[in-house]
Amino acid sequence: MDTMNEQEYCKKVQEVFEFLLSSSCNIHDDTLYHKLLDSLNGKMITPEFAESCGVIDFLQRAGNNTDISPDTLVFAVQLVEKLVSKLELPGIHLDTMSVLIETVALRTSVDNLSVFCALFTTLTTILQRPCIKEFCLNIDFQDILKKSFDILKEERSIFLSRAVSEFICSLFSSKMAESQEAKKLLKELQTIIVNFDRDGSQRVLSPSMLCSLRVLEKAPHLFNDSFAEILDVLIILMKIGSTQSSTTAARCLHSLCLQCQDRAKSERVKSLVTKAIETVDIVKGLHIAKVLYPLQLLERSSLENIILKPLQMLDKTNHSPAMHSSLPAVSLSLTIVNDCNIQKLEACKCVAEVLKMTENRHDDFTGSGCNSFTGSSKLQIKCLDYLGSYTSKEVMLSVISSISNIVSYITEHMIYGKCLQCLCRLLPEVLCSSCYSSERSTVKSDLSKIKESVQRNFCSVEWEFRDTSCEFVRNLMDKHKDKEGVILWMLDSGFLVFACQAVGDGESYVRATSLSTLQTVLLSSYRTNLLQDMNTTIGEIISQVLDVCKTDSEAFPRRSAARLLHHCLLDLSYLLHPDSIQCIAQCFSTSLPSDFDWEVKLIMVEFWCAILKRCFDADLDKETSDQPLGIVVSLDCLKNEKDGKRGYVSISSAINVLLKLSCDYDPSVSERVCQELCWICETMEKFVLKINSATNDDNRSDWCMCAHCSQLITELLNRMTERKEKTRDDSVFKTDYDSNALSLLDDILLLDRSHDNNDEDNAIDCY
Amino acid sequence: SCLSGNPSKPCFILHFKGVTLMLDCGLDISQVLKFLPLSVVPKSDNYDKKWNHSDKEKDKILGDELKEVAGSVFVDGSLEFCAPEFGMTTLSEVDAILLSNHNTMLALPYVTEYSGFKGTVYCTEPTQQIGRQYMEELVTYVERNPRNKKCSKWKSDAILSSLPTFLREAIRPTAWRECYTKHDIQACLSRVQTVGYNEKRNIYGALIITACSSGYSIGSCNWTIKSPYQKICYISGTSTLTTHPKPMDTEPLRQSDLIIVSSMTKTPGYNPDQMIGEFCMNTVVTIKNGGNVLVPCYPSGMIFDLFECLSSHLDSCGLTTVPLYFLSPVSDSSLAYSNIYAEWLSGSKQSRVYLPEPPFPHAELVSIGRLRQYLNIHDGLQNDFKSPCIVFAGHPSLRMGDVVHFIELWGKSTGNTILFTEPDFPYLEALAPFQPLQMKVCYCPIDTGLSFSQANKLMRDLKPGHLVVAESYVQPPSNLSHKTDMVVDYDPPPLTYKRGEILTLPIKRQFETVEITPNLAKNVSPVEVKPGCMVSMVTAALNIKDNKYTLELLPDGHLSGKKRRADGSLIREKSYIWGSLNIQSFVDALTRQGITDIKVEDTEDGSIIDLPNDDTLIQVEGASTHIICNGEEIVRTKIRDTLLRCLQKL
Repeated sequence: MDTMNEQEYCKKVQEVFEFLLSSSCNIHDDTLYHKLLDSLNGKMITPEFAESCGVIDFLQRAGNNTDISPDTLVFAVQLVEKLVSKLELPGIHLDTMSVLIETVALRTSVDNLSVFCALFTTLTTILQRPCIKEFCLNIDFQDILKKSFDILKEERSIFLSRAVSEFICSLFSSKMAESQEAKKLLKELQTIIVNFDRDGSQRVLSPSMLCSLRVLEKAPHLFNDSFAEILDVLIILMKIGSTQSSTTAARCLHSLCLQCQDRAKSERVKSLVTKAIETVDIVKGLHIAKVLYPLQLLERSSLENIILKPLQMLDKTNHSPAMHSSLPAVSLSLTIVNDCNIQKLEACKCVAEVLKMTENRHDDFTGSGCNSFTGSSKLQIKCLDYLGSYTSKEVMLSVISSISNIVSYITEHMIYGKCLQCLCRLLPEVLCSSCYSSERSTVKSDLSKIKESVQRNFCSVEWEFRDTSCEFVRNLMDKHKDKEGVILWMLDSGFLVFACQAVGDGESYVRATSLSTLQTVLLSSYRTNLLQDMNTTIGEIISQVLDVCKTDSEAFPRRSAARLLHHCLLDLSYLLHPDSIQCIAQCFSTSLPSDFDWEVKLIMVEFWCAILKRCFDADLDKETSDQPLGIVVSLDCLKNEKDGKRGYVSISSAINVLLKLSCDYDPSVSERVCQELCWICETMEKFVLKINSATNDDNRSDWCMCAHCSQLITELLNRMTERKEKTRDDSVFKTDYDSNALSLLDDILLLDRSHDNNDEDNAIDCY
Repeated sequence: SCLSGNPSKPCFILHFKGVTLMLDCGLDISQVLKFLPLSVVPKSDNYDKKWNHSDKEKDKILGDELKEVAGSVFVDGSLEFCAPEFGMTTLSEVDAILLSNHNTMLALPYVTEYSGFKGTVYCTEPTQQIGRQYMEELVTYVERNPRNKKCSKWKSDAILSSLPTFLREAIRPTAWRECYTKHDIQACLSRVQTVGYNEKRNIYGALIITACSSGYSIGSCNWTIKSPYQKICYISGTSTLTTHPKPMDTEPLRQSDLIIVSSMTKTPGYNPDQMIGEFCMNTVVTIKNGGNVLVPCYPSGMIFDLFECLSSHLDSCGLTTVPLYFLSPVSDSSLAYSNIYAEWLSGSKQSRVYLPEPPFPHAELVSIGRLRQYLNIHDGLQNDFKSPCIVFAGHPSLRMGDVVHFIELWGKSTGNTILFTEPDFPYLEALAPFQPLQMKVCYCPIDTGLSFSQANKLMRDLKPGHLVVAESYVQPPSNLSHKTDMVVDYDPPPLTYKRGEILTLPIKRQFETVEITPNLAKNVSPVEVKPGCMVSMVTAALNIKDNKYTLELLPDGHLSGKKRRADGSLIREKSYIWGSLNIQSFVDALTRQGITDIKVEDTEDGSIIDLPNDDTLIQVEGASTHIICNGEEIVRTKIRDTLLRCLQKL
């Protein structure tokens, strides 16, 4: 901001403050307060500037003014928070602010919840600042603590209770923890815990109890005096409290145990927790175990037993409906197994067993073999999530069998996708296993069942199934590109043909996935075999993909097609027929620059940049350059023809394409192109220098400096200068208020001026 | 009377208000499965293995009537069909036949041409045309590759009982009939009177019949049969799903005394939407694997939806060049007629007409050459044939039609698929003579008829007084016995029908409209019994003609006013008293009779009159009067006569 603007800004800020302090101030839209706060937070770099803007004066007057609106008061308190956390303020300014806080705490009614919320949030921030003690000199800290405690006991509002609770918790980790007032408060918190009603009537904890427990969890050492009583209360709470209370108690017990210096005490805590967890009901036990698992209060193995209990209680003999564990308990158990990432054989067996019970079987319709778990998508998703990340060898075949049954009668594409993800992970191991080669094993028939189902789903009426099937093939190719067994299995299944036929699918997402699959095929080391299986050639594929690039009405397939062509040219140019290369180069230089989709254009930008980079790199360091230069980019202009190699587009044409896109209507494209042009420009300048300083004839013939090329470089340099000027001002992507802080102030002041005409009934709240 | 054993091919006789109606005239074709297929291209080695009976005597009688194919036994004779039990009634007395849709009229020529039927047949125009196509297709298939040998020896009870189960289960084979002829079809359909939806037709002055849309197929309808005081509805072949026909119209079916339900879905375990999805999916899988798809089908109905869904799905899967071949002797008229019945179609189909576009997309498929129709395999198919392809061909029973040729042609290849969508025939039985079969078999039955839940919901909505359904609809299907919800559930419990059963419907004729001739009216002296209500005694002659009732003066010579008992003694003329008693007038009258010291006490319901001198109490209430006296007859008579005098009389 130049000096002129700075002065104007300060003046306007002062006017705004004046307006805010006036009794006529009535800003209905509180987002304006937030925007002003953000704006001031950004601008206030020094205490001096804050002073010159009248911020300190505003805070002083806000403390003394009894007429200001509650919203302005909240704004003032929040402004204090911003300033204290950002700036090293001199004592005099701190005094002003502490006076404001003191006044607000004393004068404002507790019924004004938003003001008190802001007050305690600000105090919480200040507690963590080095200036806290200095700040507290002017305020009655004891009174504030008393007020905070009263608010907790009164259970006023959730937001206020939470703000107060945060404040109290921060207090005991701040420099003020040793103050007399804090110690007094701590006593009261201890009393709350010790006097907890143990008869079970208080299953849901009061905010004051919750706050006390939070302090206990964060600073257990402060509660050493009443260790025994508190331990007693926590154990009871764990047994009789609600799920939330029990888990809070569990966390507190863990903290208590951690800080115990005395080994006996610590062992006592563990033993009591172990006993308690055995007495609570199965669901609560699961919740407690989930909390304790990462904390290492108890042995993980014992917690795993608790977590797996609902799964182990299932009647595994015949997957009959006569089960001893309810569906919610099993579901919760699976969630915890996933969350805690219990990757052990026992857990894996249990999960595989549950998955087996959920199998959709053909006989479901006739009713035999059904149970309440059959077809439960909730359980299937959880099981597959787990098995997708870990499957032990022992259960691998059982999982494959379940997957084969589930996908045979699948109706939800999400589960289908998860089944295939899981299969994709397991397939290499299954195909290598001895069972696969054994005649007796059922795994072959399971895999063939899966093959059939995937083939069917390639032709499903719902596009999601077709897309997921294509994605599966892509994942197989991508993740197991070096595994011959998987590739052979895939070739045998005919999936590849189905996936590649999907380029002509009616749904754009499926076409896009199919093109990505084709890309993976072309980049695979088994490319030749795969193309043979598909009965096609790379040239045919390129022609098909070019067609998509030029004619597809949807952006997703065009993006995939552009990506495929990009990678083909960069990595497989030696395999391409010159005609194909010419077509691709033409597509990238003529069709794609006028595409409607920004991402297609970005892919094209990446393409040209990569090509140019290779050209420049090869030229700069000829020894490292093995790539046949000029395969796409011609050397005949700007860079002269050499060794008889001719490309299809000149460097100047490539740069011209980029220059045009630097003015693209889509800012994400133009911005990106401008970034890229920077390094191109720098490199070009180096070449120009090189040409000028070149003495031998070879170098001179490398680069042409004809009128056309000189003009191009000039244009490039001009564009860069324009961009530098543009970026000097704030980014174009910012909102009006961000780019021009004054406009926000003007808008607020406009409210002041239009106050007389303000017809509240006609006001439209745009937020 | 229920004449048909198959509720999906119903045939009922309804006697109502003196009129005899036949409701539908369905032909159960499933019995043709007992026969060997009629090959389009006869081969000598096909189906020529004679089945030998273990009993040599019987084997001798049987001759070569039965053949064995892949372990199953079939009749090697001309095809026969199981017509309804027409013997249950005198068909010449049937006044009218109401047809619901093309599926339920294939036995019509047996009635109109071979029974002396003199009545009228009512149906909608599309039903008539599509029914004609079905009949013509059937006759063409039977006549085109005839098997002239009529087999009947195997039907004799002695032999039948010793045959394998499949044949032994044949229902009354001795009553099976050979197919009618094209001439019969022409003659039969010339007796049809077409009706429009909601058009009222009077049947001999006794009943008004109306057809209302049933949403099942083009022109399909339900019938309402109304007399002035009763209404019976007949629901047959109804669909609440959104397909190509005009949606079901429920309004005319409300407030009916009784509803008869037939032709519910034959495959309650299969959801039609899912099955269409399965059908499309299996077709595309086969095509993508380079195989051909064979779809046995009827020439109309669901096939239009299949064309639409399949072509769009093929487009979705990028298979826009795969040809669809439609083979039927009536394929041209079927495709053409479907596109001219716009007013009988769903709203969305109708709106296409205003674009203007043909209502069905198959018109476009034909115009671009993607769907090609042929009368038979010799109708130029060889010139155009391109594989892989999808062939729609009749007949779904797989015993006749071009489909037989394609199964024989493609059956040996595992890459091909036969897709069953018509639910009329058990597909495994249909395939039995073609075994061993290598081609893939998929069963995706699509029946848009009412499911049990839809039927129950519909009945809860229509609230008929009584419901009459097939016996099989009140118990779960035999293959899904655990699905207890797959029944028609209604309160009062539905009455059930089955083949050969006569049911008395719980409809009582309580009221009838009677006209009075002017001459008789002149002699009537009505008395007003309450405002706007007048009563009179009438003695007249009741004349009934064309189901109209008229009261006329008694002809001369008849005794008037004197009624006699059976033994000839005169019946004393009775008078009827009415009205409420005026207590004061009654007391005054009693006083005039010499009864004194009368006390009147008002009670909640009326009055109590105390005659202390005669030791009598008279209790007068709204609808009754009690006289409690000490048994003195004179007093009782006096009071009775006084009371009667105080009341009005007719």
